[in-house]
Amino acid sequence: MPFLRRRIYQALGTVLPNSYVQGFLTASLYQGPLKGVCTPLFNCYACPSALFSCPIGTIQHFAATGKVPFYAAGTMAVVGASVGRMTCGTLCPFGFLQDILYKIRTWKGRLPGWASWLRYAALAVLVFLIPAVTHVHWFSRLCPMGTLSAGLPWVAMSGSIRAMIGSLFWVKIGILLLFATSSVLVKRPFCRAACPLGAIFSLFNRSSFLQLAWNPDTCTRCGKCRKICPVDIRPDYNPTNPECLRCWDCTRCPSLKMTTVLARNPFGLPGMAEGRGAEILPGTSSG
Amino acid sequence: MKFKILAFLLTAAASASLLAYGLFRGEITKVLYNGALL
Repeated sequence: MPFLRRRIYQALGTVLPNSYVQGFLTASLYQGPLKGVCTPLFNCYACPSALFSCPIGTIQHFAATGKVPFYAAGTMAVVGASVGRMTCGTLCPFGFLQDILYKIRTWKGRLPGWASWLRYAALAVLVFLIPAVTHVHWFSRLCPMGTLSAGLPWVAMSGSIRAMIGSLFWVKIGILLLFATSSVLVKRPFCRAACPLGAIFSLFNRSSFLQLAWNPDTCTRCGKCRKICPVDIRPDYNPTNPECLRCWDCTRCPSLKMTTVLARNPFGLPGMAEGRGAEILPGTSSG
Repeated sequence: MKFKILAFLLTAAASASLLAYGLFRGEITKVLYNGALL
């Protein structure tokens, strides 16, 4: 997928689910039938322009009321089984924001590998465990995307909401600022270390229909794929890495290609994918 | 290769069943209700 096309998809993923402009004009929320549809990206319930519902908010609601979220979990699972984490890489508005912030030229660092486990902890603790025990949607209360798309607009629009500002609001602002500033320094810190939606989709990268194929015969291990990767991974080491956002930026290299789980020879020659190399091709030496 | 296809088919079947059961239970209405609470 060409880089510019991904930016267009990300812009559409930001604008289309948030196209209820009347919400801002009339200080109200859309409550039509689309609000029952869970999107595979962050689309905060409380955002005045949101047309759909946030899957994480829905799952928390079910956890808080002691029910199993079959519909929300099923929607996430169907999307995950089809495209893995692709919605994180190509549609998510908060991912788009982090990608833009990382463009700011300054000192750049890397997240430690263990940080990626934190998003599974966020999913288990803030989305399932604490809401089930306290009956309060704690992830949504702290979510930086919710603060940006719902908390701040409501504070700007409504005097009665401004009057209700307490210490929790400043904690939310602090979390938003933490992720916004860290996005300038490291690639996608929220997606990698805190996003419970990304944690759910990560589980499907190995078995999804869409797959990333790597050709060991043409790969020179130059490492450029890591440089352009929005989450700093080496797709040549592990094309089914749960960290991979399936943004397909690395497919600019001819050694990496978007394929499907059904494709036997994504690069057109027998044995030239899935880590198998020229050694099994007839007439070639095993090196 | 066969293992990958089998893993995908199992995942897809389980995912579709989960979604179908959720729709059968009318959970979309509950999601709407949750949105209306805000």
